[in-house]
Amino acid sequence: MNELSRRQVLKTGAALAAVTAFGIGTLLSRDAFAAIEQLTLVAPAKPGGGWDQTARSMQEVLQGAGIVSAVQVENVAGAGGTVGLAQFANRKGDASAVLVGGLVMLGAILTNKSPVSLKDVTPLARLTGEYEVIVVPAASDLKTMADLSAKLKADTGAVSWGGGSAGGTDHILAGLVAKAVGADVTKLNYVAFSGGGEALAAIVGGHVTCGVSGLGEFEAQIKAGELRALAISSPERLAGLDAPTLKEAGVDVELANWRGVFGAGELADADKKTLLDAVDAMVKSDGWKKTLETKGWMDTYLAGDAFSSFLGEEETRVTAVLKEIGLVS
Amino acid sequence: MNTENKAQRWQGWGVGLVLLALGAGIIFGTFSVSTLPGQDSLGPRLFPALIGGGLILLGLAHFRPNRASNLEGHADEGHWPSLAWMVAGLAIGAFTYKLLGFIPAALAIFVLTARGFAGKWDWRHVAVGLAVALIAFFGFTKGLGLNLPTGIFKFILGGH
Amino acid sequence: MGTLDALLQGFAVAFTPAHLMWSLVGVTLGTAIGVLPGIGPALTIALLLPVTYHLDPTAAFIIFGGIYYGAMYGSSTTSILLNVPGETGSIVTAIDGHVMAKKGRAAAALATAAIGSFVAGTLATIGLSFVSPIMVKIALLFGPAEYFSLMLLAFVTVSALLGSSILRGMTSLFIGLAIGLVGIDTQTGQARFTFGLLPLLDGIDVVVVAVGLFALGEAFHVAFREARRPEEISSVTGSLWMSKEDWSRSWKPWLRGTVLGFPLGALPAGGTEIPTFLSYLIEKRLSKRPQEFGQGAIEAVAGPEAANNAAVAGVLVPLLSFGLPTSATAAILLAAFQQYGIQPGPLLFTSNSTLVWALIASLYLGNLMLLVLNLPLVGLWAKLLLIPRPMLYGGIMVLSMLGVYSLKNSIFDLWLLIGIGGVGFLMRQFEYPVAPLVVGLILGPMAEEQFRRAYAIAQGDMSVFVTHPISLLLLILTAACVIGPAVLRRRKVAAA
Repeated sequence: MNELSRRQVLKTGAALAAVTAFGIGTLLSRDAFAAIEQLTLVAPAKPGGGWDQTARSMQEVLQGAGIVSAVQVENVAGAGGTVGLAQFANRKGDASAVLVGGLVMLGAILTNKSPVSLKDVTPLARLTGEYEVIVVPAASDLKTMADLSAKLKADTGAVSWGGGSAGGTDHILAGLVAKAVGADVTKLNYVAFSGGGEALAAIVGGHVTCGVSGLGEFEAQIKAGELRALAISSPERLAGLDAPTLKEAGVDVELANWRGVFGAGELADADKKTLLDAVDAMVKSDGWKKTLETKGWMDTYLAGDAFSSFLGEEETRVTAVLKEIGLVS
Repeated sequence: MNTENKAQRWQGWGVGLVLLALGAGIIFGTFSVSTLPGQDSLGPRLFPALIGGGLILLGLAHFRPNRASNLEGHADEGHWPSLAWMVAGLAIGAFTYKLLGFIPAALAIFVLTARGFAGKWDWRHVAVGLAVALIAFFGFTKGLGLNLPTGIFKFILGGH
Repeated sequence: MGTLDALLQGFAVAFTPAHLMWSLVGVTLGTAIGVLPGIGPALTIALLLPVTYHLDPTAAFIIFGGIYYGAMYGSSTTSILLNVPGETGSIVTAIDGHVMAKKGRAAAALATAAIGSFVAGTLATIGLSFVSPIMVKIALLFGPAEYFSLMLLAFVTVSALLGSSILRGMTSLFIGLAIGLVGIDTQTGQARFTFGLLPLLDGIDVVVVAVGLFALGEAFHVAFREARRPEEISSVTGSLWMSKEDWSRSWKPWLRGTVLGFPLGALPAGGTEIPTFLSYLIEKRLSKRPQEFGQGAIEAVAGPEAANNAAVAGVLVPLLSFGLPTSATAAILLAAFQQYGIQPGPLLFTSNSTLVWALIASLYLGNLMLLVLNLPLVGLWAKLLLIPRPMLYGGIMVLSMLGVYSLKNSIFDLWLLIGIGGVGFLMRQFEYPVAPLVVGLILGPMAEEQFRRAYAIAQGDMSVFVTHPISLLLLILTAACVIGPAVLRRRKVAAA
């Protein structure tokens, strides 16, 4: 451990000395032809969470594939990413940093009445996504999504939903489903849990009627038969999961908990292009494909203007549902 | 004895007033918490109101006579300069943490705290303080990959 | 049958020179980060994940296990010596532990903490090996109603921390409850008492408050009251080791702490703090010398220290036997399993039994290693208090600021820390106990959350708290804890 870190210190020290003293450091380094020298990835969450893992995976791939010479991850945690976003928004025109964000941030901006929004940054690309699954404990008498829909429509308040934080992806999906089946959305009985484990325990223990979360959170328990998957929020059925899509089950809803990257606000066109190219090169690299596979992330790559317009649609939809749930006035 | 009791009564009233203000502030603030037609019929206001009410009751209880009588009282006056040096050190530290970086900030915190306790400047404090700052910085950034602000040493240490 | 064989096989894997070395690396690193408030095992393991990816999974998990157990040891050391609780689970330790240190009994406090942690850690790891599946079944019976009643029981702890005046103690508790209100309301997402400040949206972290009140408040107090007085060199007086009396006063709290900590740690919303609160409460109630509590009672260190280590092992129960991550650290461990392509969950024990048993074996090993590392060092650690005050407190201040900053990389938290230090200083001047404030801050938000969840699930039917048998039992226990002492006292008076 010590040996390793000392070597690291020496190595970085030497490289930096070369750069500053002789100005030829880049010629000596392995990544001589990297398009970008230095890049900071701002993960607006604590180490370990989804955004942090995205940032750290990007770091490995960007460096490994020689796209960027030196990448570092900076964690600015807090308030669904809005603390990191607010700090990042101050870097106007700065092309040396990229912010990781996603659907949860979109919701948090609205519920927290954040003074800074995604309009203050430059959308670069959507990278990954995870679909949401609706589950009930194995012993539940709700066998299909139709059973749940019927119960929801008959007495919305009697169905308690267990999921992640209020206003997050899980809550949004519950709201969208209630709305789509024609239930009274204002009566939606959503019980927010802080950690994935806590929600999972409440669902498996039968303390709530049903649960909603990213597939990854529930996959193991579904496979072990502790939970029954009623439906998945993807456009098509997923391999390895015996559950219909929401659409097949008669609920016209599709939702992915997507994650993406943003550049600083007021970015020069040339800088934006450099960053977009770097992201593009990363997504097309073998390292990234391998990462997606091991982490179980869906590839939802969508870059530039297409991502911007997707963001606009997503914002409209999320605002509408959050208003109906009663989280945003 | 008598004067001490009087001082203690004033002290009790002072704390009582602070608690009343805090409680009232919380109850007042409760009304600015938005409650929207949501599913949770209890809403986010109930507990703040209860806690605010509790603080007001506790504040009122501080005005009851005799409640402060079992204070030990301090034998001697406190020493303000020591405290002032410490607070100054921490404030300078917090202020320069990002601006100048962790190493100078930690040095300031260490040296000024030591100055407050020792009552005089001592070059050994500077030497030890610098050592502590350097060991902490390199131990945690290089050993663990933590981000600590490099500040003015950015050009040597990199980072932000 | 199979369990013992599997465990022995696990030991065979863990006891190779390379793995022993990794275990040493893990426990050392864990102790080091445990010392720093704000940097816990979750953060450390998350930061190490990319590095350990290149190791084989068994070695990586041996390191993680060492970090996990080591953090609690490091944290109790700083709680006792410096009044800086490195993790929330050792806040209670600081209350009496630091008083003991100031009275020159640092070595005894450190020793009872280390041995208690070892005893509890070992017993709880045995529990983890043999009764996990049953524990999980019981843990799943706990829903919001049960948790709320458990929180109420934990609140009774305040009665053991009140000090000389009920009014002062309750004032402190309510200030803590008020601080706990700050931040986003978890059930509705609405901001409360954040004054439009973004960094307050996530609430005020317990670590910031505990370090501010204990470490800074105490340092301010010493600077103000005692800096000009000659130092009493107290840390060498008294026995350097645990006396016979210390042993006889410690062993029962160790066992009781274990019995409390392990099952509560296994609860999905249990955590490491509540067992330490309850342990303090029970030890004070059972002690023949309750008046010593708060003045440096060794039971008040032995019990909570055993409880937090047992709870740490308890957290692994739902993780390993059900794939249920119930703490930040457990969530990271889960992510680590996934990184190696291992499917955590109910099938983990069957599908990857070699790895799981190697991990469990390495926990026994790490625990033993921590004891061997820490016991001989106890005398050396205690000498830390011989450092001249200016440098000792200088170091404590640097440590506190570094730890709190690392929590969220936030300068705002540093200012908050200084402000809370000021509050702690004033409370000390006016002789208000600070411990009830921390209890209020930890339990208040949890109690509100669970109450409202239970209320929402039951659609406003308040009877859930008494119709659920476990909840009712906990409420009866709570009532007994509140009324019991008064009744006993009256009976004693009547008998006399």
